[in-house]
Amino acid sequence: MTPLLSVRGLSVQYRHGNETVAALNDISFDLAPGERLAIIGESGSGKSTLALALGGLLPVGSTVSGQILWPALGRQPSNGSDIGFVFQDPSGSLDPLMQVGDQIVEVLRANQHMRGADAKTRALQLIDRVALPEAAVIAASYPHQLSGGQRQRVAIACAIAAGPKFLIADEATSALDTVIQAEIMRLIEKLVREEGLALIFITHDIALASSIGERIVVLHEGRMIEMGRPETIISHPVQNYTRRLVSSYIALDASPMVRPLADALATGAQ
Amino acid sequence: MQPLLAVEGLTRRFTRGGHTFSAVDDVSFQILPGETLALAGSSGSGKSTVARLVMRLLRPDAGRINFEGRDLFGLSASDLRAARARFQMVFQDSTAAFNPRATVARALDDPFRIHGLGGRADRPHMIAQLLEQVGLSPDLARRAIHEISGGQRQRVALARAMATNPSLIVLDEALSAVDSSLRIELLRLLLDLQARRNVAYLFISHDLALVRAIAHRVVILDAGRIVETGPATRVIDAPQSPTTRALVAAVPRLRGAEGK
Repeated sequence: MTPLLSVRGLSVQYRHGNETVAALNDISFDLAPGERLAIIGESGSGKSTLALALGGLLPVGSTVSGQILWPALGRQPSNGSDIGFVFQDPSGSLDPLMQVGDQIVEVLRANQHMRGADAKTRALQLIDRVALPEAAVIAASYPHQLSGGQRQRVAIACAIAAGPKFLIADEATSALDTVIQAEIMRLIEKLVREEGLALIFITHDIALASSIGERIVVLHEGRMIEMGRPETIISHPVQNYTRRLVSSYIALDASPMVRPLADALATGAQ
Repeated sequence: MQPLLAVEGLTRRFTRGGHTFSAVDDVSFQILPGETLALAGSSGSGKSTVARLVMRLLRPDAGRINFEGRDLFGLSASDLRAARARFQMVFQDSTAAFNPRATVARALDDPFRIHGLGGRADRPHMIAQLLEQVGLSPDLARRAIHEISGGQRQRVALARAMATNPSLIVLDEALSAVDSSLRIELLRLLLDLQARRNVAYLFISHDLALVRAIAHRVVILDAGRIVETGPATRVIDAPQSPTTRALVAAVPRLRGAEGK
């Protein structure tokens, strides 16, 4: 199948005063249409730089080499109509002074040239699509009147409004509590499946990466150190770093690390 | 044994949009010296409000908090100032908890100075000792808060909380915003400090996997009320309430780790 996205030897450097800092080093991978790729990395791994590079959103002054190709598209993508973005902090993508319905309408106007009543109707459908109750009430709300989970749903509605075939989610659930996180994960999975979207899911949480990715890319200090199916990466990691990531994960069935309270009380009584 | 902290019938109401609701509703629990009690629940369950009440940053509408045998809300201003040395707090975002331009030494000197601990000449040595206790190099003292990494900053926050030798530290989502390799290091550090100093933790989190690893007991909150409580492993391994079951179900699972 013709890949949607082909990244070849991508390197990105940032300037810090007189210093240049390498954020990404020689990254290469393909993404098929409709494929779900998880990118796992910790702070400083370059994972957010990769998201920004794919969207052409790198800060001015960054040096880029290598290629980002869009074979299935046959042209450069346009953000909004070809690529939808969901970031960690929905407050950063939403205008605090604008009703959220109008913000979705704005996306439709800019990318779909949709106007008036059509755009309003479509905005309400999109609010329904991200499983928010009472679309009309939500549409008339300002971001601060919504909960964090509701705001992230609105941000997802904006991201898919113009019908892109590719969604980039950068730590999209990291600021949410586990219950809301699980709901947003289910929503993203559902939308990706039903709309046939390709997904790049960027996270620092290896369990989330393993649950949503058909393949996982492990980034460490700007380099791609391992790529494979989640089952393989989790049970047979090749690199020491990946092994450390997997073993440091605190699972629900791990042995408790706290020492029994009886011991603590005995010490305290000494 | 006397509880270190005894919370009884704690209630706190807020008004929002003309409606009054109870953020914390008749909550009671105790913490023993050296014990870790987790307070778990979703956003809006009231766990952070309980933390703020225990820290005496808020006053309750009803209920009592006894700390080290004294009524926390009956203390005079000067008694409260002295008592504050004994209960400390670490927040999720340590960037916001410090003056970014202060040096690490300055941030750690504050609690010593405020509570009159050590002479001026002794303090550099006390600061170095504190840094070593949280696994940091004493050389870090000269660096500015904004120059150090997020993980180092969270350790400095813990060092600052430990400076006055508290018997209780409230950890409000203190491990929630960090990478998993750092999280497990901080977790080990907390357990190590507890073993050495017999400090008790009130550990606030929405992540039951974390709670199960660190806490002796857990209190599950929903809409300001306690819905379940007991030993952390028992409550999490065999949840009885729908709230706990939902929290357990929401913990991300490692795919491919089955049977490992």
